[in-house]
Amino acid sequence: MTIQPTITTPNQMLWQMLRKGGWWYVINLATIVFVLLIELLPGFINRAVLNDLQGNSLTSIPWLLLGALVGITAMRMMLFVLLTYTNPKTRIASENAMRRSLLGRIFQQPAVAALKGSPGEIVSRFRDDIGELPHTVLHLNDIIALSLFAVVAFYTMYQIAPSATLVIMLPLVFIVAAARFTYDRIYVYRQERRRATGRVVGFIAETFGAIQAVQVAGTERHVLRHFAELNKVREVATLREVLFDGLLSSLFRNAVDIGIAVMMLMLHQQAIGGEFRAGDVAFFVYSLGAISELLGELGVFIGRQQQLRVSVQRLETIGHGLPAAKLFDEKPFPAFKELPPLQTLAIRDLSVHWKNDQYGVRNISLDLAPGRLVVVTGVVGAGKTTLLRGILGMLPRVTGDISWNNSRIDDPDLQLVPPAVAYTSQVPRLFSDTVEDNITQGRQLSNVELDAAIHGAVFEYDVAQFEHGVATLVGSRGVRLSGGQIQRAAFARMLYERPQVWLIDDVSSALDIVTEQLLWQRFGEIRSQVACLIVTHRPQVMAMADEIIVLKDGQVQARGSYADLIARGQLTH
Amino acid sequence: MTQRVAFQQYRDLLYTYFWPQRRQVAVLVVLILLDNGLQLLGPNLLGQFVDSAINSDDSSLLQRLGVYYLVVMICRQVARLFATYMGETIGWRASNALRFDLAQHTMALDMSYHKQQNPGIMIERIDGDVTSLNRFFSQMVLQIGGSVLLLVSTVGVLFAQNWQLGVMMLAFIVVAATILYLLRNVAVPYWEGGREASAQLFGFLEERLAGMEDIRGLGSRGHTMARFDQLMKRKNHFDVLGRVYGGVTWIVPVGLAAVLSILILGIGTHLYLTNQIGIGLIVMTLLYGEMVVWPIRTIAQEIDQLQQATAGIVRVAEIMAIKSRLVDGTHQMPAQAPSVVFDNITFAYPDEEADKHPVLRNVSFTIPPQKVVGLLGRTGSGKSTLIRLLFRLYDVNAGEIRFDQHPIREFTLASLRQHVGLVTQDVQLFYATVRDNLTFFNKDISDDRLYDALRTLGLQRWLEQQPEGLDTLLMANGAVSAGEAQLIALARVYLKQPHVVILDEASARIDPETEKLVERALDTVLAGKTAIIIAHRLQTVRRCDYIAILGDGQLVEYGAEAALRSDEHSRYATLLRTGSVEEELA
Repeated sequence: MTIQPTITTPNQMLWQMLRKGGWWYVINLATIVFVLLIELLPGFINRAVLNDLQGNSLTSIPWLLLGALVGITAMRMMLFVLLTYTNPKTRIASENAMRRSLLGRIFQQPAVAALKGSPGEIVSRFRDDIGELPHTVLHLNDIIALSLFAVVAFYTMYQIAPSATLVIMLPLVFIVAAARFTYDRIYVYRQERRRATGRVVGFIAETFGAIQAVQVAGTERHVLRHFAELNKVREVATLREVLFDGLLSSLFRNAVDIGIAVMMLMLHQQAIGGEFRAGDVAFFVYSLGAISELLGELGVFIGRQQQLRVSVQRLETIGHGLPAAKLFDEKPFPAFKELPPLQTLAIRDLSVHWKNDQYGVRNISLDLAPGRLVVVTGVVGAGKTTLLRGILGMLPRVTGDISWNNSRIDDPDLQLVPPAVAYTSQVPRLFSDTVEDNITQGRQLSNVELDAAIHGAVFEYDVAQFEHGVATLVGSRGVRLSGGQIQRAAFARMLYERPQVWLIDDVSSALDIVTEQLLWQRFGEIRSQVACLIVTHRPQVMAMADEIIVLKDGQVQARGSYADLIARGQLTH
Repeated sequence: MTQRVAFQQYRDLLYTYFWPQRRQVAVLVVLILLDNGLQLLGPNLLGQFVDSAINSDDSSLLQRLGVYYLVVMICRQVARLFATYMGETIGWRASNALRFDLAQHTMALDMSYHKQQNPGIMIERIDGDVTSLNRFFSQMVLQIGGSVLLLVSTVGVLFAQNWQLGVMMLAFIVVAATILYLLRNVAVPYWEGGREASAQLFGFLEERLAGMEDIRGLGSRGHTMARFDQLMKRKNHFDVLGRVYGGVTWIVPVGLAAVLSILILGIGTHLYLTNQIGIGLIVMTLLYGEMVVWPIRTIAQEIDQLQQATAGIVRVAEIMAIKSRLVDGTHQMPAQAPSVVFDNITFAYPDEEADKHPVLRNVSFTIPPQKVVGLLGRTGSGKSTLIRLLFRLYDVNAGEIRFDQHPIREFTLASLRQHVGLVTQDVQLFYATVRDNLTFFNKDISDDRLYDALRTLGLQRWLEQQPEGLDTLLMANGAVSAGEAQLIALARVYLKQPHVVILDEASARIDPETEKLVERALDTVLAGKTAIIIAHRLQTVRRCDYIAILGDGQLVEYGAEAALRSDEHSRYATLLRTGSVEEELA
């Protein structure tokens, strides 16, 4: 596995998170610094008491100093409470901004190619990578504060025993320098661990998204075995990272113990000279304890810097190359660009490609106008759905023009959307809300409009049967409804939009003949002012059509009216 | 909101997941003991050093103490490193075993459970909650055990040196432990709320990401972003509260530590001034004081973690307590195509009100072995429900479904579902390879059989277009057209070779031309099988031997296809003539 470059450097990322934390960050930093500087005081007091005891200048318990210690403790505890509050506040500001912007970014991609991975896997990036990044900033504060502590402690130690202090520091400097060589490894381990976690999470989502299929296929055993394998990979990757991190941090911490041993060896010479003072030894050990903590944290922090690169890279991937640093500039979602009342919608020489050419459509032209109905039909894999998605900008358009009243559509993503155009996909998804929320999608019109949409979709009979009517929860992905009910709910959802153009992809496939006929009959009554492009194999719809386009291998094989195509033997019915 | 987790729950969890790893646990215990022993030795050496430096001029003794110290500390780091590694290994094995058990348990639950979940919530339930338990497994128990041990030995060593200092340390530990015990549950409600909010947020996100195309097509991106925002705010709320309340459990030990060093300094000074101890012992006790802080802090931090873990345990226990409404049978299904008998069955979905119509009422009919029945009826008339009952996704409320003379309740679910194959209109594809999508991860199926299946269903050309053949990763959403997905589903059933086949609108998304190909493939798939075909297209139904028509949950017509067709008063014949929509709906 190689190191993949990121657009955003770790430092830029840190800076952005720090900026986003704002005053919470500043208060957090100030508090930690203050806490640690106060923490030095007990070291000084202990040293004074011990040295005075050794020099026989202390004759009773030093109540005043002990009282001072009590005061210091009380103060530290209060500052800690402040820390527990500023900590999440600093973090949350960045987390929210990143999650919001990233979702916005994904929403702005051509919808079909928007997800770089399974939804579950992407959720793991939203959850884990974004969840962990802001901790780096808080960690930075720890390092800054500990460093200040170390500087003061070091200065004091140098005053007490210059040569011993310098010698103690030597192994420390050496180890910090050596740690640089571990960066790549930290990075790679982290990346592998994340990847393995993503696969586990993605697999859980898919399995339970398809749980009925899994149960019906009776394949639980095999699915579980696959799950266990993914778990194992994650376990191995995690353990390797843990071991390496442990090794690193124990190296750092060990450096201090070596320092203490060196101090013992050097101070014994001072002892022989009669200058040895117990308080100084206590102070050295006290300070070195904190310096040890600093080094340990520094090791972790260096590791985090590498891990941060992994997270940044993972976020930039699913964000389609948006620099992670830009996730902090929150912009409202771009507004819909209004279009004038439709006269003509002309599609000229449109070519749309999937990754491999076979799946594209080539040089398709067609015209829509209010009241005009065009049907697209053709064999499986002919490119019918691709054509619809291409028009809507859900797949990248390669060549061709789309014009609305003779003016070119440059940004279908913001123009060919409701209220101008509404679309129903071939396999519509409902969300785990009520029937009503699924139809209205947060746009509250009147109940009359809602009932009209439900009636238009021949859904009123079903809704009346539901336990709570339109307030019935449909379950995850609409699982509480039958296939035909899902399609009609989605159809109602589209009718509710009242746009100028309808694009409909094979919406009646799960309906029985009677319901289907009624659906198209009602549709015929309400479509008079609307332009329609419908993918279907149904003769009934084709008979209503002004034009039928037969696609084969992505190209127009035949076009004409229903009677015409039947006569030419271009339709199999 | 917070259920108290009984001690027994922890114990059961530990026993289930640690006992299989008892050897590793034993090694870990030894490592922790070693670590503790060496850790106690350090301050002791330093104390001796101070006293020797003050009282004697033996330079070689001081030098030796320095070297001992170095060796002790290096050994300790090594022991520590291995202990960490061992702890994590045990923890990951245990938590992965738990993840597996949870997945297994939930997978076996009937649809009345799964209807209420979404995949994102399942991620949190199976991975998120267990991850919060991970530390409980990997460190908590052993850390707490190790820490207690260290505290006890510290007190012991101090008693050996000076009983007053020993008493002081013991009293301190008892008081500190009591305080920490009282604080252990402070933050649990907030952690629990946080986990729930997190499950909601990421469940929402997963569902919306999976439905991107619809959201885009409906122009509800803005609305979706606003809902996402609301859910984030809810999570934030609990994050802050959890952190603040959770903070108590590490702020208090810091205070306790400070109190201890004040005590040591005060009492130590007094003892020195009354000539009972030397300065070296004060230095050693101060160092012990620092050291005691760590285990107490560890215990406190672990309690903090324990609160998160407890929230996890509560949620895990919640799931494990859900029992499937289905009782598994004990018999294997015989390896032959059986007759399928629906004997007077009535059924209503479990979560619906009792006074509502049952979805199916008194439905009775029999499909002879190796015959094909066409099941017709309006959407919502109960066709799909009937199929679900056949798979025992639910159990009937009254009546009985039998294969030959055996009620299906007698068969094990695994054997039942192994021998009944289903193709639905909506095909679930995995974000996995073509192979895994065909075999459902069953690694025993050879590639030759896969090629055979793909050829039979006319998917050969499609396979050739896949850049890496059977190893091509299929995007769950997009690259496979809906028609192709249905062909893949047919291939799955072809591979499974069941005795009973059910096609629920299996060719609805397939164009008429491809359908002819599929019809030919069906001849192969259905040969010698008992089958039920739900179809709205009458061409598909023509191959059936019998026709059953459901209307509003009841069987309204049943008979041989040919007979019904020729009887012009039958509903079937009316349907064949179509055009009778109004009459049918009246």
